[in-house]
Amino acid sequence: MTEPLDYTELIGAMKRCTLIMTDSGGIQEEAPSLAKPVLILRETTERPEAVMAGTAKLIGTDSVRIYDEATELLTNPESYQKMANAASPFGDGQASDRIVDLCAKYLKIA
Amino acid sequence: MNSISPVPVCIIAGTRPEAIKMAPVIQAFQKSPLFKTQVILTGQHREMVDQVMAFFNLKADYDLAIMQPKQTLTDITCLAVRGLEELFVKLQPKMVLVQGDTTTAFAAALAAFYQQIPVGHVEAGLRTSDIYNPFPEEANRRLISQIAQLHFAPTTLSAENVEKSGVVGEIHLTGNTVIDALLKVAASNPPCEIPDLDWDKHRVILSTVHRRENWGEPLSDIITGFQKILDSHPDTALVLPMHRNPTVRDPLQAALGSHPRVF
Repeated sequence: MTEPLDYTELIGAMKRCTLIMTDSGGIQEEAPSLAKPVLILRETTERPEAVMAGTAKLIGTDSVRIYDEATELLTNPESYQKMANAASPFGDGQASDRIVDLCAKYLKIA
Repeated sequence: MNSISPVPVCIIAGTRPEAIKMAPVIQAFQKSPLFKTQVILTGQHREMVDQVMAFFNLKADYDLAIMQPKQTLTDITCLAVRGLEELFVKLQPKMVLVQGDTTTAFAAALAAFYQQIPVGHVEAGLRTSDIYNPFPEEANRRLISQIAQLHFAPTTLSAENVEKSGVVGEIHLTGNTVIDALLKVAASNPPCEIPDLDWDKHRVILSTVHRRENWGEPLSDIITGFQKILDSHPDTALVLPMHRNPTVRDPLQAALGSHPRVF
């Protein structure tokens, strides 16, 4: 089994994988920007945005459900693409530049 | 036109997630000629923060190094507020930026407030309805919202949450800076060497399971689900980066550790 991955290795793994099954909140945020579907192994999530946007699906921990949902994504390209290509609700990569601009405006130096 | 001298701002981080989410913010501020950017680490966590700073090629201007064995929330808060007060008096920032909901972020917001320095809150508006869950983060983020003047919400839902908290100041939907960091890292095509795994030979399912709510029976169900998937789809492999906690690690290791397509 794999030892814990550091930050950049985990991104490397997310980039190369086909599908992600996780209970991690951070991965739910990151995966859509790498066009990877996420099956959330929980009953609830603090990030309903991902589920609403269609980038993630809340499936719980029932073994039959886990198998069925993964099988659907592994065998039906249409279902896979629909999740993989849904737009990320978490950002477009420009947040930091916006924050700098907004601070400059607030301080009246822009 | 008169040239204006750069305005001093302080950016604070104490834990690994803060460092990751602040790294692109620090880079963007450093790029701007309008600001003189000072990065302050509280040292709430140590090695993991240094790793992230090094990866993004960033150096802290100040490090309070407050981490001590068996530190309590009170220790962290008191040491951070005291240390940051001294730095804010010395550096005279016109704005202090904090991220998320750690005790470092709360202490920094409080220290800035005591000096009447406006606080910008990155990733504002995450909420649960339970003040003790997550603890102490839920209270930290609510308290920061009450102190901050600029609320940078990552999503429309979080912007609504800030609005509902009856805050003072400006609420802006910016997106999450974690995506800025992610795209920078992903563009560098970071390696992920896993012993014996050829990424091109399998369709890889990446899985991480670590939450307390999944310990015990849910984890057994998840393992059964994984076994069915591996049995029915022989072209798949499962990558399971291990958690250090044996409660999660041991059952996964026992059930899947010897499977030829589990890595």
